[in-house]
Amino acid sequence: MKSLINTALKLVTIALVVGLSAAVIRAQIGVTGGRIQIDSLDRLDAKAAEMVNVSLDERLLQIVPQAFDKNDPDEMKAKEIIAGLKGVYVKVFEFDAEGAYDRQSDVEPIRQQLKAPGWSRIVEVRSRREGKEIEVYLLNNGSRVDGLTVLAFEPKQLVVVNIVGTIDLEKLRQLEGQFGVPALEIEKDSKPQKK
Amino acid sequence: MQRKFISSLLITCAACSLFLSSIVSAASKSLDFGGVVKLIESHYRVKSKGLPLVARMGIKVASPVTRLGGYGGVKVALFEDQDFSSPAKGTNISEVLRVVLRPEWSPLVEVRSRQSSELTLVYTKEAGDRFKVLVVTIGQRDGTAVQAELSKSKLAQFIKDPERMSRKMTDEATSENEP
Repeated sequence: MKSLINTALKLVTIALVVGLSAAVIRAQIGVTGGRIQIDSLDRLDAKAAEMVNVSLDERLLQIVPQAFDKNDPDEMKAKEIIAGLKGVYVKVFEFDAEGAYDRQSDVEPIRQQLKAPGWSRIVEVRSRREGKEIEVYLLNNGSRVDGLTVLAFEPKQLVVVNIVGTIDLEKLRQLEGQFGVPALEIEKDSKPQKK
Repeated sequence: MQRKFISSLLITCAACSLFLSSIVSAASKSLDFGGVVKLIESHYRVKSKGLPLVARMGIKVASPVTRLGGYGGVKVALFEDQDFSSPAKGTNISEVLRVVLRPEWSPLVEVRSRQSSELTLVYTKEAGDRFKVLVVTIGQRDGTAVQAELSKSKLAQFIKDPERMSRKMTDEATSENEP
């Protein structure tokens, strides 16, 4: 009888821990909602030769479709994508010389955020010869994608794109070249890599 | 004795919270256009020519309103032939503006090029059913600060191509041509 009570108590404890963990994970996803903190990169502004910083929150994104041409099919597709978005945040830094930014201190804090529950890396491209690296991360919420982050590094360039909200990857290409979003070059058949 | 002490403590606490809340509400107000102009002046140790040229500004202010539908309430400050090469050390104007314009204004676009020595900062703020846009452009020798009220459709065009639209807005607001 005593052991049964002990087992029951253990099970209750485990259930509570699991339930609490799930709640914490849900809360983490809910609070950040796909938005990652990239303001720490602002310190690179002083070193960069060129800098572009775009912040489009949900309030502004809701207004954008008013500027779309109803007769332009591309713009109509872009309108569909924007309808599910809650934010587009872009930071582009171009430097005169190599080594102006440090992967460890400048980029790693952003990568750490992308290790949070829900995020998975779907693309990783490295070109040792050109020193280029592209990483694409998705925030999966069941079958839905709630966020996307692109990190693109070159010896003299650093690009971070953070798109928040429900994203249809097949339609995402329509955003390239608009609202400060550079060409993301995400292939349709990119598969998530489990971490 | 104890009751007296507690009541005086309560009164002190209430006074402190009132004082603190007044500070918080004052701090939560963003800087207005004049404040932004003064801040640019002190940051770069430059002088704007907007205020003494009220008559000239009247012409300039009228041009974007009449030529471009959807613009209104335009305010312009010009920094002509000034030296922007020595800003206040240890701070960055975009960071400073972001702080002083918070929470009412949100940064939309910041573009800086060392090669062309140009900095463009665009902020937006809701104003009822319209939006206010503040565009600050700093060059090597010249600078401008333009604030305008935009309709939602005009702002949508602005967001679609903020770099081009902020240039256009600044150019038209500072244009010498009468409408």
